[in-house]
This record gives sequence, C-alpha cells and structure tokens, in this order.
Amino acid sequence: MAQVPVVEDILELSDEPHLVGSRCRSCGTHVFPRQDGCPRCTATDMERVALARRGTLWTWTVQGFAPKAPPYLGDTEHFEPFGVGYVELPHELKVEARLTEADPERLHVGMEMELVLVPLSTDDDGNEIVTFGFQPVEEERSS
Amino acid sequence: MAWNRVAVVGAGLIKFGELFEQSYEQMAADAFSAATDNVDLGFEPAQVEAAIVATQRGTLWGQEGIGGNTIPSAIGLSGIPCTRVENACPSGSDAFRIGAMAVASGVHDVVLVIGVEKMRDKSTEEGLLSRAASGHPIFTRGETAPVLFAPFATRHMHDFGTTREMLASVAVKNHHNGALDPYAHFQNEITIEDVINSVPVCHPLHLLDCCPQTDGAAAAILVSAERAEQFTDKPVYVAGFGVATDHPYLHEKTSYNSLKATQMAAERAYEMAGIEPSQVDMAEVHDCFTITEILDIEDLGFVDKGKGGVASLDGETSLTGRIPINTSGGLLAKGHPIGATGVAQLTECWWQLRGEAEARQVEMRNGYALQHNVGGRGSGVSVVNILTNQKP
Ligand SMILES: [Zn+2]
Repeated sequence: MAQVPVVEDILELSDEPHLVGSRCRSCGTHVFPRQDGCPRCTATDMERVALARRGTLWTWTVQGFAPKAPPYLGDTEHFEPFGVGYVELPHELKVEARLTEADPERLHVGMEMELVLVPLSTDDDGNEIVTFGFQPVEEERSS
Repeated sequence: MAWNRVAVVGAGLIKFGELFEQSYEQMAADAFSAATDNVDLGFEPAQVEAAIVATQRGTLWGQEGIGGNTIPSAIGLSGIPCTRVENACPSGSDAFRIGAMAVASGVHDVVLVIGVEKMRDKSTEEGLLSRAASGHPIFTRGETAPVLFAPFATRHMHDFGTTREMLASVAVKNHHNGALDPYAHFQNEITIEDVINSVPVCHPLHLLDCCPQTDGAAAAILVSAERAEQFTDKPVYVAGFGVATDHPYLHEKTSYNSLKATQMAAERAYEMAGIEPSQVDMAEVHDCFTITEILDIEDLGFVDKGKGGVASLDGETSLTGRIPINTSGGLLAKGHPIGATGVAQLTECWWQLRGEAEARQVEMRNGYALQHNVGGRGSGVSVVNILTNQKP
C-alpha cells in the first residue's frame, strides 16, 4: 500500500520525513506551507526548503470531538481525540500540527517534539493518506 | 479631545434564540421596529437616509450571495442606499463603525445599522463549524472554533497560573447576567461545577466554556450630533472606535496569551475617545469562549496581563464589581448570531449609559461604555467602539 500526503507538496515522505516550506532569499523569512511571495518583504524570490524535524511545543490542546466531514478527511466513526499543537522549529517558524499524544497529563509547554507521519484514512485506490504530526521526543526514546 | 460627532438615538434587538419560524428579513424588520420604538421623541422610518447591514454568512440559511438590497425592501425603505458588511465576528461592530463614519462625513444625517444572522436553519454538518475552515492545507483535517482558542487557555494557564475554576467563573458570571436579560438565549444560572463537569470539547475547554449557536438581530439608529436632540433628551455619542488586523493563522503568532488585534484596536479607540481604560464604566466584550473574555479584559487594559483569571474569579467583572463585563450575558449566555452580536452589545451599552438596563444596571461613574469583538482566521480582526453619555 502506497502512502500519499494529505495535501500535495507540504510533506516529503521518507524514513526521516520533513515538512516542505519556503525561505525568502531577500530577508530569510520561512513560510509553511510553501508560497511564492514573501509575507514579510513581498519579494518573490522564494526557495524551496526542508524544514527542521525537531522543535519545541509553544502551546497545545486536544481535539476532543470529531470535526465535521468534509472538510475533515479522517475517520469520524471511530474517532479518537488527538492533540493539536504549535511547534517552533528553531530559527525557522512555528507550525500547527497534530500531536501523537492526546493525554493532557503528558503534554507541557516547552517540551521537545519530533516530526512523524500520521495515518489519516485510505483513498479509493487503496493508498494510505498520511498527514504530519509531532511526537514528544521522550516518548520516542522510551518506546 | 472626544470625537463625539455622531449620536445613537435608538437601539434595540429581538429575543435571541432558535428562530426557525422567522425569516432573515422578518428578524431584521423586528429589530428595526425595536430600535425605532426606543427613540424617545418618535422616529419615522422614512427619516432613514442609508443603511448598513451586517450578516456574516448567508450560506448558514441557504443563501450564497446576499447584498444589501433585501433589508430595505423588508422594512418599507426600498430605494435607500444599503451596503452589506462582512468582517468575521466583528461584522456588526464594524457595520456600526462604518455607519458612524458615514454620518461623520456629512454625507448622511441619519443612518440605520442592522445586524442579523440566522445560525440554526442548516444542519450542523452544513453549518458554521464545518464550513469555516476548508481550503488551507493545515486545515484539511478539520479545524474547529474551540481548537483555535483552547491553545490560548493552555498557554495562559502555563504562563500565569490561571486555573480551570477561573475559566469557569466567566461562564457562571455571564449566565447570571443572562438570566437577568430578557433578550438572552440562555436564562439559567450555572455553577463552576456545572462548567467543569460538562463535556470536554478541546482541552482545557468544556461545553459550557463555549458560546451556543444562536439566531438574532439588532439595530441602531445613528444621527449627526447636532440633530440628536430632535430625537431624544438622552443622546448617547460615539466617542471613538478602532479596528486592527493580525496574522490569519495561529502558527504566525508571537504570543499565545494575548490577542494583538484587540490590543491595537483598543489603543486606537482610546486615543480617539481621549480616555484611559480606567475611565470605562462597563464593557461588552467578545466571550466566544471563557478564555476569550480573560484575554479581552487584559488586552483592553481593564486588568494587568495575566490577572484576568483572578479578576474574574474574585468578582471584579460582576455587575457590582470594579469593571462590570458582559452585563447582557455575553456571547456565552445571550448568544452569538454573528452579524447581530456587535450591534446587540452596543444596544446593551446604550441602555447602560441611559440608566435603562433594569436589573442589570451598573454604576456609570464616568459615562463611558466599551464594546469589543475579535474573530476571523487566527482571531486576526478586532473592532472596538466606545460610547459615552457625555455631551460633546
Ligand atoms: Zn522576505
């Protein structure tokens, strides 16, 4: 079964997956998702860059009920609450992402997080649709 | 130097709630009648020179494109200039601001501002929460309104020690006020335990931390200050206003314990009115969630940053507190029919400034009331209006 990203060109799928962003060659501003113009200086010379895979958690919540589908592409019948967080990638930017952890007792502001792929659903051709998420680095070490 | 070129001579609203039996146009017409009935010395509808209508989203009741022309027809004023304003949750407050500018410019002497919104006609699947957030890659997994505000609560608790009880105290206070407001959607008292034990929505917010989906309409009549006394012996004046924008996505924020748009809009409104936050006697602020009111009262300058939770729990924002907030019940209890919300908040300020808020009346020492909304993507739009009963 092949994996496909939930949206084209936001995610490189590999053993070390990373987000795809843009960096402004004029002022150095990073943007995610990619865009052709710089939101800070309006320059149009933007290069495609792989964003850092690790960052720190600025704040978070837990989506406790199934979002309405559409636009939600996940499984609403067997919904499990999922974490949502804002992770700062050092010297780049903050990204909003799913968190692999949904237990409020195990999430705290400032913890180190690492990018992982999160299965979302299966498309009509049998491909696994994946989105991105962040997991606590401690969790990864202990498992 | 107060601005005070525009007076509010009438304001009113319809009972908020589930209004399946009323059409959009009927709701607007009833709000218009409520406002004209409240003009002390009488008001002929034909005196309206132009209207501004605030409706955030026609799709909520099955209309894709709605302009400004359906409302004049519904109130017997077909032919007058009428423009529809949409600016997210502050749509109603921004319509009011634009109406005030139309009068201040001298182009019109009498302008009607109507906010009207039907939120309940469509099923939840077709409603606001599901339609609010498609398009952006990050949102593809389904963004919901509480997931945009809950992270502010998490961070506020982390940074300032704000507690679950402090959040809940906002809902308890606003339901208490709503129980005294005949126009409120909900008119029942609740306890801190009720809030904490309600269904978890987005950590740390529970169901009673969230405003309901409500239908409603409200209207205000603005006239040039020189003509105010033709209509009333107790005019209320527009002292100032401010609007500000901020980044549309939360990942672009530099702070998760404040809303920059609110801070900037407030700064502009205070400067225009020539007053300090301490001179405001009461305020109607945007409490779509309990945490939002805590952010608001800090960002509007009523309490120090980080003290909003403690102030709420200690009763500083109650009807008899130092700075009464959301005397009408707020969005949490009165409801949040988006286009109508700001105009209804302004109506509450108008009553408070005229001493007509009945059981909800608070002490008006300085004669200033403030109204605030914040919303849109990333809470990136805010409008603040300041009203006064002080003559120019
Ligand atoms: Zn740039």
